[in-house]
Amino acid sequence: MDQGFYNRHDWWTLTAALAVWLAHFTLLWIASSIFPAQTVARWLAMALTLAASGALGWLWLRAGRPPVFRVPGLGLAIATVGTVFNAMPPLIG
Amino acid sequence: MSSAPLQGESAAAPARRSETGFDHDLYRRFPTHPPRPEGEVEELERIWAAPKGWGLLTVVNNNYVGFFYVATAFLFFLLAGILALGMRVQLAAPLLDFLPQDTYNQFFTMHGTVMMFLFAVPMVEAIGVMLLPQMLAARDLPFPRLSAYAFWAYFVGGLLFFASIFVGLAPDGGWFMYPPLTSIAFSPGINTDFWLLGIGFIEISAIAGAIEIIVGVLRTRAPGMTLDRMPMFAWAMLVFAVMIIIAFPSVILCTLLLELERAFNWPFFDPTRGGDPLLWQHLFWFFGHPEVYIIFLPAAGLMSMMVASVAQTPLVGYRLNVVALVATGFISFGVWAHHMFATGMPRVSTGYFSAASMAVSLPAGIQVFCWIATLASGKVRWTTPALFVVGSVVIFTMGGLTGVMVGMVPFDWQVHDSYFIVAHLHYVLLGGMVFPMFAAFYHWVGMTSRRGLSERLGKWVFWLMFAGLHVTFLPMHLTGFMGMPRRVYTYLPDRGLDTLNLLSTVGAFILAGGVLLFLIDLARNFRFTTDDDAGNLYNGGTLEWLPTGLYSTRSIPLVKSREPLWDDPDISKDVEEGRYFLPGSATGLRETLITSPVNAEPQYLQIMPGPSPWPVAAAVTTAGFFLALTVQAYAFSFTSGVIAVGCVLRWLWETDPPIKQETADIGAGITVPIAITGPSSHGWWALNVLAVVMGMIAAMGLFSYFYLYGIHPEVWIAAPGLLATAGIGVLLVSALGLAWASRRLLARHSQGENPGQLPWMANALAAACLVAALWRDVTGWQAAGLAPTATGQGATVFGVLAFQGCCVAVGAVMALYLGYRSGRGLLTGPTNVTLDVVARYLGYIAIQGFVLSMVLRLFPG
Repeated sequence: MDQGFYNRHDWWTLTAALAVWLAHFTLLWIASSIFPAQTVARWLAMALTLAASGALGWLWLRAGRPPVFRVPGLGLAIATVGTVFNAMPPLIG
Repeated sequence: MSSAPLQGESAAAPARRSETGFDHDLYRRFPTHPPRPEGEVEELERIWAAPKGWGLLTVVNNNYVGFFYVATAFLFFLLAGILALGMRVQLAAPLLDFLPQDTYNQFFTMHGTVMMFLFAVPMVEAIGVMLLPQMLAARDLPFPRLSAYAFWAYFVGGLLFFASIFVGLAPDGGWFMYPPLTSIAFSPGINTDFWLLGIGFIEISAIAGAIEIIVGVLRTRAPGMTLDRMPMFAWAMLVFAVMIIIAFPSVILCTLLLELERAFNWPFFDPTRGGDPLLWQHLFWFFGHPEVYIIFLPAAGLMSMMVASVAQTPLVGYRLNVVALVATGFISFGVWAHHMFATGMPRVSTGYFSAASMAVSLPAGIQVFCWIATLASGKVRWTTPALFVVGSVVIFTMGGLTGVMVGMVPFDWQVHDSYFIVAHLHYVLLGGMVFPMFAAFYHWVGMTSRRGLSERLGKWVFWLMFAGLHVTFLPMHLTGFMGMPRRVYTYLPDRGLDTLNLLSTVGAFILAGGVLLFLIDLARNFRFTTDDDAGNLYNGGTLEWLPTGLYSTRSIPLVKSREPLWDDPDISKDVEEGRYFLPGSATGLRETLITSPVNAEPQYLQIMPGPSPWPVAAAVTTAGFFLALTVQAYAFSFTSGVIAVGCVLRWLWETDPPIKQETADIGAGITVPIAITGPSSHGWWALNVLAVVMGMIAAMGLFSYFYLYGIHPEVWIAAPGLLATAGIGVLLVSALGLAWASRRLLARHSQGENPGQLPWMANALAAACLVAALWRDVTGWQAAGLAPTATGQGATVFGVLAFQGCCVAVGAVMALYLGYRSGRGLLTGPTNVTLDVVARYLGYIAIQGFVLSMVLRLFPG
């Protein structure tokens, strides 16, 4: 039997990366709803973006710096792009 | 799991990277070589035989239930399509009076509602029920009676719901039913109640199906079919079902809240008393936008499998496609408020939803590129499924591009509620779901029909539908730009809209012509069968194309690749000769092999229930319960509800019989246990999935509570005192402890030993603690001066407690049921599936009650 199929770590990294995106998105939205049109929401967004970027970077290192065409790499790439997208509104909105 | 070693094989061979301790060297025993005993196939046929005639109402085999399901969903597609034609006739020219305004309102509401709730989601679940067991080489999905219940509930509830249009009582507030339009002040009739209770009921059916699919995909795959070798459709159905259990509780909650407001004047959405109509939009769209992907992803799974067959080459980027499915599932939960850009949300908030709407197009794009690359890398045969597949890619991409456009806030403001949106959503849904569905009909018809559909007619069907779609919906982009709003029953002449609308009407009839031709093709060529099918018409490579009967495959193959039929030319013969797992019945009963969730290693044998009238009886009486509520016949509703509970308990009565046989030989000398409890059991998985559903309803209830506090903090009153709160906490922790202790009490007894009264009584006491805690919670809030009709706080607190009350009531019934089984001698040690389920359920309800009580009483402080 080919044993190459079994890599739970890859799927865990993918899920964790997307969970980071989801948490980042949710917290940003909550902050912007609690502090509408206030500077504090923007600062919170920046802080949360830094935290999310750190978490994604840690996941990337932990997964052994996978390239973008592998499962964990693509998951991390999508989550990173999504996180960067999320960070745009408080910067330019 | 144990096994007898073969000659020349070491019994102590190391388990290589095993998930469960299963020795992978045992796989080398397959395919087996000794001849199989006579009569095995005949026994399988006898065990899995389906009833005939009226007995078909009791059938639970996926071949039948899946077919009924698909046929019913397609019927609703046709009915909703006829409504659309009626609307298009009305709009063919300005100021026509083909449909009166009220009727037109009912038509567009029913068209959207039926297409979304009665066609799209049920259709993909139906295709799942039909295809998955064979695709995974399981004998059936793990809870066949649940599948039957889900179908009958949908069938009865759906037809009753649709019938409302014939008596002028169909809902007329749009398929998303926004309050205040749908509040009692502006919609005093029962039309809206039909929608709220009907849809709530039908969604229960969808959730039941989702539980079945999650457990089925994760636990009944053929040995060796690791997650990495699963057919793409199974992956898509897994993501789809997970999304359902997360998204659908939200719509169930909001329909219940609006019904509570309409029936009992609880002001969830009334801003004059601390409610907020936008709460509805948040709850609805938290379900509503993921719903689009819930519909699209299974169709994408079908597409991924069909492009491989069309191009006769493995799917390019299998793993990337899986990543895209999972990523779409995640990101789709961050886009709901892009339907609310025009409601005046904070500007930065709208930016987040806009950003997520852009991000979700990335994984969708990955899938499209994988399909294109697959088609480009193979040799395309331009069959009917191929045409539908390619047409779908074109249409979906066009709809996706306009989706990115409306994801931009300023653009959305311009075209909001205009025909541009109608065009966009139809491109997405027709390209993303309807065209793949037709492709799938042609591709998989060989599984259920004695002969395939006509290729010649099929190409006509495709071109009529493809042309009709563009003629209908392309002009709508322009009518939208020109300012024509949605949901209007007519328009004035000489505004430049006449020709474009006429064109759309002509296109709708061309599209309908394609569907009509498909029906003619069906009538001419489709002949339902379960044992004499046309087979693999398009040379697919996955397991559903193995020879099958009502028992699925004769033996359950060992899977070594993603397209086993392409990679192992002998597999069909070996499977049919019983050279793999479970070549006959090991217990003389219906059974299937339960495997581990990641590696699909054999774990145990599940005994499966056979035909039963109780699922259909439960479905009919559940429908009666909801229908009677709609017309405010409360006594009849209560009676129906009690009978429905009785039917469910009766059906469950037979599903956990004490079995003397402890292990079974599943082939090649490998033995596994029968019917286990705990985290390895499929029942444990199903219960956990159900807990997620209930937890999501509770979580959305808490969201409503905090949301209304954020909007109207001035109506909030102080919570009851900490001492009373602590007392509730003690009761709930006691309930949790008693439920846990009941399992320990049972575990003390030996195999088959009667454990006496203690185990069930511990559960009954746990249920009593839950009831006491709830009673103290409710009376505590009442004593604090909170009333459900007074404010948004009262409505949400009592609404959440009412939900907890429903969960507790179910727990109390389960505890009594367990006591009755114990009294009948059906509760024996050391483990029992029924007790395991009841104890875990009560434990979960205790935890849920604890969280709800503490949050409501301690926050926001």
